[in-house]
Amino acid sequence: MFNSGYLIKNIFFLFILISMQMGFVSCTTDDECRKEKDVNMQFAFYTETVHPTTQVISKTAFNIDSIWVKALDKDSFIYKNKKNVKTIILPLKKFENQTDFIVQFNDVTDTISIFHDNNENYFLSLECGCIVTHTIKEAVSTNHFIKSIEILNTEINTTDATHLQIFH
Amino acid sequence: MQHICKFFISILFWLSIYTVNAQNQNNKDSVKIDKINFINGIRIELDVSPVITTLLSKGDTYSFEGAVQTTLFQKYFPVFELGFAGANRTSTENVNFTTNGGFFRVGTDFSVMKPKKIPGKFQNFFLVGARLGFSNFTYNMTNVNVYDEYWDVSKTYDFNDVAATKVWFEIAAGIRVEIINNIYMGWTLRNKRMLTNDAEGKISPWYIPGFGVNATSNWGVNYALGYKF
Repeated sequence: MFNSGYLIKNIFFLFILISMQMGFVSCTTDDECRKEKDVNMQFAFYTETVHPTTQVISKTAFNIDSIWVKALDKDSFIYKNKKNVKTIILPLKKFENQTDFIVQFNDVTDTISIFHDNNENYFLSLECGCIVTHTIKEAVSTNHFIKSIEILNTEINTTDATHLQIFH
Repeated sequence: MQHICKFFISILFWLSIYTVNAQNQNNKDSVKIDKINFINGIRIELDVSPVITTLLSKGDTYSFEGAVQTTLFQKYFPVFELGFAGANRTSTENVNFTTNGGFFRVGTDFSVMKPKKIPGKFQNFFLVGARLGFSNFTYNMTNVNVYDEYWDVSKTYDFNDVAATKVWFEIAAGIRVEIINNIYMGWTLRNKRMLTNDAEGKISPWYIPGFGVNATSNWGVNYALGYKF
């Protein structure tokens, strides 16, 4: 009265299931954070040229020969004499609403102030934790080298995008 | 969600038709002893897989469950599964996640093979079916650190007693084998699909009782020991 054949088959299957379960466990428990966590604001440099005959204004991207960038309240440089720069990426303050930078273009210095909202604790995952994303409200600067600043994209997150255009 | 609703409604629909037909047949030839019983026993099962799975997850997670399954017309196997599960995990960056909570699943299985109950012989089933799973639980996520590298400032967040309700759909397949009289053994393999997704950027649980590690889909294995009344 004992279904021994099925019992053996069943126990054999149990071992297959255990090994499958091991596979699932190793697939699902990921210890390392594999998501992008860096949130940076990106600047691109442009000049405006007016066509002599048609009077049409056109934007042209250009490279800065050498650039120095640091925050107003910090001594360490984020960019130090970087040559031939097309775009720069800068972090914004995660827990304050205003970030000021001192930017030296070749030998001319300007101060740029960014006013922003912070979306604290934007959750990624248990492994990656939280990040802070920003929304640009306003961007102002002194006008020694910079002619004007245009906000292209207000949302700053982990996506690689140009947020501000600096016109010379 | 809509498809699942349709699926369950159609199950109910066909079940009701079957009931009516069975009743009609009974009326016509009442002399015949009804071969197909409406309810053919109730099987109570205990999932013994946690013995192994808890070891495999290195104590990070645990899940215990039992099930009640009955047989309708030797073909449909409505099932109710009830369990309790939890997790306690610390990430490499020392973020701690804890949860525990109950869950239940309702659904039905279908017998793929035509069941034959020959007196004196053991009964085996090969079952394929679907379930809808529910869990209402709270979780804690503590020591979430955000570091502002350049300005060298940091903040630590603690999220305590965050409430969550999760609903998921499962497709299940398994076998049940009668080992000794009325004692069954078998396994169920299931693919789970989450129906209630978290908004991007919002805090979400790492583990969901009854579902497992939070993802759009997940797998589950049960090893059942059952007794048929």
